[in-house]
Amino acid sequence: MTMKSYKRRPGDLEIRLLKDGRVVFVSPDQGLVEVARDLEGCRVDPDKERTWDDTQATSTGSPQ
Amino acid sequence: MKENAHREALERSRAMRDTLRDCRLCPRQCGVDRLHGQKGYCGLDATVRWFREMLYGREETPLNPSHQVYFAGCNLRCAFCSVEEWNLQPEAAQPMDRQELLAVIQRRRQQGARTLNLLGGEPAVSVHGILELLAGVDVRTTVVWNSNMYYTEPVAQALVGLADVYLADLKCGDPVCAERLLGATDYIEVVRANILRARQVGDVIVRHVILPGHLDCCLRPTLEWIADQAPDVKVSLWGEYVPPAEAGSAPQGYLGPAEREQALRMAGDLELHLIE
Repeated sequence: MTMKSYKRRPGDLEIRLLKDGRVVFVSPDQGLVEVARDLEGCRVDPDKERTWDDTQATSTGSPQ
Repeated sequence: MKENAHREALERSRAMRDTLRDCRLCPRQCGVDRLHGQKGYCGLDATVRWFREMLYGREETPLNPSHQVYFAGCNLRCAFCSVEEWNLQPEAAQPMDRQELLAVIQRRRQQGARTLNLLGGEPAVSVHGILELLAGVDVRTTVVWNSNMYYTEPVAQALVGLADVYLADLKCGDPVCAERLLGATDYIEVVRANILRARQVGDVIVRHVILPGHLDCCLRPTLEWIADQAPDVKVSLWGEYVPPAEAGSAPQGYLGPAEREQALRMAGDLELHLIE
């Protein structure tokens, strides 16, 4: 495994899992937007067994 | 779109296409002959290319649901670009088939798209193809020109009456940051002039991506300029900055709640017309 950051190529999609539990969809396509929408309102509580309750998904639809 | 402008769209497209033999669509003023295959800073010859379309519900509220069409190629090199791969290699995107894209636009409209959102990359470097496309789009369509606004006067003129909403992505408020983060020293003066021009012919939403650590150098002067020169425009503060994976000149962290609140307070103090 390399320590170098992976550089996106045309056609790649990127999802990041942040330490604080957020899921970031970087410039998603339609499919990933649907996934992000499904995940909104969900949260993984590390102390419980896969409990989903709060909002933690975010996406950047428009490029920045 | 305005009916008279819509009728002129094909003619405007041809005129813009003619200028590609000595391309000066943007302040880079490359002067290359795109009609004969030369490519300038944006990496495009005369072929218009697009890489994604989608129905999106998280643009600014008045625009949603918005049908986004992403055109490849850009005249800036933002250090935090989230679609950089398509701007560095625009030839990887598919060439625009006008009839095919018109059918997609029609289908998205039937699915509930309230606006047609033209973005990239930077749509200005593909303006000739976009005008040709708009000539075939239903005149009642609300067209959003989602742009970095870094283009020259002929592009601005060609858009009059065709762009209903200018979603102006105003990124930096300091020339040093503009050079370091976007690769364009003249960015601020060019973009601000185009926003003032757009305000005379359409609805303007100024969107500013809040850059962590750039509130005093970029956000504050941007908001103060809006308050002074264009207090009527709508302002959208985008708090979802995503740092690039590779370390460089761009901020490396995510925006925290304290900076987000500070930004909103700045805008509130200046009594700007904030929208979400």
